Amino acid sequence: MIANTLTIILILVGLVFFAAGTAGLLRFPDVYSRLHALTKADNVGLGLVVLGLMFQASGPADILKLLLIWVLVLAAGTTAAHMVAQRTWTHGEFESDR
Amino acid sequence: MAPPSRSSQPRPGFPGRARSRGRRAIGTAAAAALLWWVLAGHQALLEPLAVLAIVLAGSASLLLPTGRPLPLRLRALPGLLIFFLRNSFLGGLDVARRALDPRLPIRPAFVTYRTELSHGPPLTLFMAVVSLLPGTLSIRLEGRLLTLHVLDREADTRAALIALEQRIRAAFHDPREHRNKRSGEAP
Amino acid sequence: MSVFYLAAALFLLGTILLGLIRVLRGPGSGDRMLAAQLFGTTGVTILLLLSMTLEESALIDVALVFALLAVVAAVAFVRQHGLPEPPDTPTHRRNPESTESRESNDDR
Repeated sequence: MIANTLTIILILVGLVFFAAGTAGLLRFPDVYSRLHALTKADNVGLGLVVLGLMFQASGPADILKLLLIWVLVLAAGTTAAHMVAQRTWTHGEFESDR
Repeated sequence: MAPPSRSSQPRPGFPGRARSRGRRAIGTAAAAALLWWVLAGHQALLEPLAVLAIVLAGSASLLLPTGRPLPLRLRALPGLLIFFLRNSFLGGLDVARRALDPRLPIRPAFVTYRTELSHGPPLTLFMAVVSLLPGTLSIRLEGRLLTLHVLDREADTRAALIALEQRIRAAFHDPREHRNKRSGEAP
Repeated sequence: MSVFYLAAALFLLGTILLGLIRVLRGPGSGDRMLAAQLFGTTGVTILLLLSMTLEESALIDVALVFALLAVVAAVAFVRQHGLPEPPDTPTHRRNPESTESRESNDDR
């Protein structure tokens, strides 16, 4: 019961972070700032959801698997953010893509 | 650039070259077993295929040429981990607050920072973690000169970067103390 | 509980749809590359929540594979044009919005 409550609270807070990330994606004025929003807010959102789901896990292996997923997404997110930022920096923001 | 090597498995330590192969093989096999357990559950750990995979992983690290061992200082890792968790959470909080604020309080700017970290894993980790700290995003690395994008130009970015650099330096043995030459990794 | 997970997953699907507005409208190609990020993180979260709703633990493995492939997707997006990488120095930048706000924290 307590575990369920904790899960619900953590997931709800996580959803707020996802919403904030999307809000930043839509509202921030340039690519770099949008990258900030998407990378950081979404990673915290996923972290909170993963933490919430850990209370529902059936064993330590499940917990470690969730943790592994979070770490992988974290690594992917920060790497992707850096690569997009670097490409925008070197190629300019409005290269011909159409 | 490669993703940072933050694996959840314990890595073999940093012993002398001679003993490191055997220990590395055992470490690799243990990591493979742990991964198998996490992915497939403990019943699957005794299946012949699992045992075969674990033994093969261990022997592969004996057969293949060894890379440079990751010069980690295990004692400094918890500090780095706590620092990272705390600051990446604060980073998400900070950017979420700015994104949801109707006045949109961001003042983006570009900042350069010269790091003293050596090329290779420490610098890669630094670049990766910078993007998750509050208000900073690593853009480009030229030599040791890092170009960053910051969300708030009034924030004390340098202090945060220096703190992170100290943490990372504490977590790695400085290769210059161990051997003179170390080929730099292309950024 | 499973209704809650489903609602949360649907909410995240909504944020992805909103995020796709930015991806579709651009304006820069960097904005379009944000799709990799969007689907990586949010997609993994949706899969995790769905695995709870459907009580299908295999979906967690799908999320794991998604997380692994997110890096590959990002690399594919960034390298897609087949352009030669520009010479390392000097860097140039055309960013109309933030150009005037460049600030060099004179290092050392």
